[in-house]
Amino acid sequence: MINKLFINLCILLLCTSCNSISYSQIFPMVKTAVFGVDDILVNDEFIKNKEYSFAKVKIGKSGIAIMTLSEINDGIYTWISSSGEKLNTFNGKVISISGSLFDMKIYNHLNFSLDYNHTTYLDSQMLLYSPKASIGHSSASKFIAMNEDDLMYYEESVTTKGFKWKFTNRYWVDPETRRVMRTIQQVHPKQDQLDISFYYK
Amino acid sequence: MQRLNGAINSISLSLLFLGLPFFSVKVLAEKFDYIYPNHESSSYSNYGGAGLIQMPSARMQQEGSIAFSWADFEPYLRGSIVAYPFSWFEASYQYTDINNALYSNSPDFSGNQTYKDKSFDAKILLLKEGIRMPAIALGARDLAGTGVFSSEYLVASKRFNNLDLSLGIGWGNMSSNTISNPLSKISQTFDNRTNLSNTLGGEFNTGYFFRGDAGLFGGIELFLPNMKGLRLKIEYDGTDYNSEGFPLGRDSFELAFRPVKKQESKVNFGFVYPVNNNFHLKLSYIKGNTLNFGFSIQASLGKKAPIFSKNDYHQKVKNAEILKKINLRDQRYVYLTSLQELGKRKLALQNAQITDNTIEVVYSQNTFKSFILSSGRVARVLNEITPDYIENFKISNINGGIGMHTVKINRADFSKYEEDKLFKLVERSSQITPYSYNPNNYEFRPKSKLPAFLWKLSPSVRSQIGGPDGFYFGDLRLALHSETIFSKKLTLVTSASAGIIDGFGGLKLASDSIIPHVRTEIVQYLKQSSSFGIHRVQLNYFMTPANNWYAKLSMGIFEEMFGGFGGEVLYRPFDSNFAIGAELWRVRQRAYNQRFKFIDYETTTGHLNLFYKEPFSQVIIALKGGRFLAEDSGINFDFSRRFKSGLRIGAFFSLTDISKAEFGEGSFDKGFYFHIPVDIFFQNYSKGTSSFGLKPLTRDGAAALVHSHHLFGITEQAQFLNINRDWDDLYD
Repeated sequence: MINKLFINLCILLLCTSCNSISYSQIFPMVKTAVFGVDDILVNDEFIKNKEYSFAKVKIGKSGIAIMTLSEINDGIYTWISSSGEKLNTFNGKVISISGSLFDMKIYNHLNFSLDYNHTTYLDSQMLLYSPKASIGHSSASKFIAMNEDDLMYYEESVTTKGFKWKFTNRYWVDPETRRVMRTIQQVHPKQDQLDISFYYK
Repeated sequence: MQRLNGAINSISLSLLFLGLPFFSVKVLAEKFDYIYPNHESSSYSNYGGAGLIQMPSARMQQEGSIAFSWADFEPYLRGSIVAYPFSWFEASYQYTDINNALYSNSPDFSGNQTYKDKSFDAKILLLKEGIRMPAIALGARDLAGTGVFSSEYLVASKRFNNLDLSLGIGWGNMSSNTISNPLSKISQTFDNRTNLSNTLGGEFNTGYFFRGDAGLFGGIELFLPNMKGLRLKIEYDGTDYNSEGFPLGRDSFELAFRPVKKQESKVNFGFVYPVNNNFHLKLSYIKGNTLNFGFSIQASLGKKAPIFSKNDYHQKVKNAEILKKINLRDQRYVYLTSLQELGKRKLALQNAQITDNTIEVVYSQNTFKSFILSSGRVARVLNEITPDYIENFKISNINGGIGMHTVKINRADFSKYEEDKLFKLVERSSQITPYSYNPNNYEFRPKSKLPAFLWKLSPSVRSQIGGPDGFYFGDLRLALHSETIFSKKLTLVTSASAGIIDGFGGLKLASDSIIPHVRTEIVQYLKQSSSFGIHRVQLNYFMTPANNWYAKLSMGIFEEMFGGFGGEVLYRPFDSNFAIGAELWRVRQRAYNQRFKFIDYETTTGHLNLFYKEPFSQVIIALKGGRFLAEDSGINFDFSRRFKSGLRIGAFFSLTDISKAEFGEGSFDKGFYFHIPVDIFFQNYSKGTSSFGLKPLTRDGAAALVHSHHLFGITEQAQFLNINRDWDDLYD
């Protein structure tokens, strides 16, 4: 996002030094550069109008998309966007992305779980695309606290082998259904983190 | 200190030329990009272009890149604009503040302002880097003018994993590590270098290129692993404060008010930290006594949607199947639903007609740069709402009431390949043909509400840079732009602005021109219109006298300095890549306060215009020959390149029949410009362009009238190659 912020503001300055951009353009430009793209308001009516379960996916500040649940197979939820990106999640963790600028895939995902009582571990291989690289991926997930919305908050600490890339993924789980309602995850070193809210039907 | 510098010199040189294998870390190619993020973008030298710290390298950025580079290294402060119109060509323009010399020896003229040098650099990639061969580039700094930093060089760069090594030979200001000039073996004319004297600046004089002593330089750029792309640079500097510029070096420079700084080391070292691919910070220690800070911002703006991908997708027609069934009953329903649904998508349906199995629609639009994209949007709507017996879409575009082109699309193919966006297969069965507009040929002719009035308010900044009164003067204004459309062919374009912040108070430079002051009274125009100014009130009438011929008659206030009447004619064959035109104007100079009054100067100006577009590189060559505003005659040469995003990078120069002395400082008219499409900063489409142009000096020679709605611009979509290049946008 910083890329775009700098480019926008600098070129904005450059351009206005001799010419003009209309007000109707200048404010959205600065707003997009500083605050990112407009959020999609998901209210009751929006949910009611959706036929299937869906996820709102925010990519840093630069992108936002609604992805529809297309199938559930062996616990893998497949979400598809209108522009063709495909996201697979397993217990709320993103295990593969295809059709995007920075695709990825995690193997041995079946070992991933979020447990209230114990720290859980995942040792797997992660395949990154653009450019292609296979790296070791180890994570430890543990319950941290209940949040104010009565959701269970978990953190997954991830270390990778191959190059220096460490991060923490966050999950908010509905204690009744045990389904992940929201997650903030790092999925690719060249991609801003994903903030995904799930709406199940 | 001297000893320390000596030690640094020897250690660094050892690292540079002997210890390279220790630094070059072999990493599996697949993880390289992650260990050394942002390694693919070159960093910039203190002199503006891609390079080491002071010295150049053979590196280039992607074509279509534009950069701003800034460096502070005593006694210099330099800002550079760098452009890459091709992947093999780097051009940069810089302002340097030389802060130990005065602007001039006349305090009345420039007060205490320090010396400002304008310079132009260029670099050409001669050989691309191969597995064994290095990249090799030939370049020159400070090509024209006073030649304060004038130098030429040949440099090779080779990447060894995380280490980028550059070695070169330089002449002029880069020759302080002196060797004998190898070119002297070819000819004795290379033995001695004599810089320009008695120059008015701005002249290209290749007479001293590659002459005199030569010198070696080199260095490394080492990418440090897992440090977010941090780079270490070490270089063996070929420049020297003592020898920079002017016939006998800086010591001879009569305007210098402090002794020239002495160089204490030839080895410079520093770090570059890429905050991201576009923004680099740099900190270096150079010459053994100077701390150097700088930054660069660069962006590759040539590609499709270079910053934001678009989310302004086609919106499917609601209840399309029901509409389709209703439309089967009566053709009028097809026309009316098309009018409504296209209008919702900013596509203005002008006329329509169904003949057998083909629907012909005529539309205009001002949203999409790509006319294949707008045709695709029209086709999508028609595909969703027209009855199934319609097999072909003939989609014609008009602009200013003039027919531009027709795209004929086979519906079955368009529909079949829509999901997979296989535009190439649609292209195969489609046709792009010229189009002559006659509304009477159509059954459906909806009435437009005329006159229509379109307007926008915008902030505007006027700038004056680099004059003797001060480095920068500017003001902030609120501008009102409007267009009144009386009929499809008759429009009135207006522009006026009111001052908000006036920063021109200290500007006082009077014109010293000895030819008519058609541009050099700029200070008067800026100051006297500071509260309010009318910039344009131009009435245009467009015509198409014959196939491929376009004409425009205009009258009114054309620009800040001139008003009058005249016209333009253009012959632009649809299937060719050239256009030829002529324009003739009788104009009178406006009063400085930019209201409706005129002053005495009156003239006739006109040109023959020739345009040629190279279809693959999208290079446009425009020649404009004739009489200019100051009644000098000559030719303006303009070269520009258009990129997929709509970005245009261009440069121009003019040669007219006035002498260098009559032209004044700068010797002849020249400059460069960027036209940046505004929609690259947004996720939705728009057609606006923001322009940045720079002429080193405002002079009266080769000044052309500025008027709106140039025929070459408004008939862009009346040439096959300008439509056919964008088939990849069909399903966007």
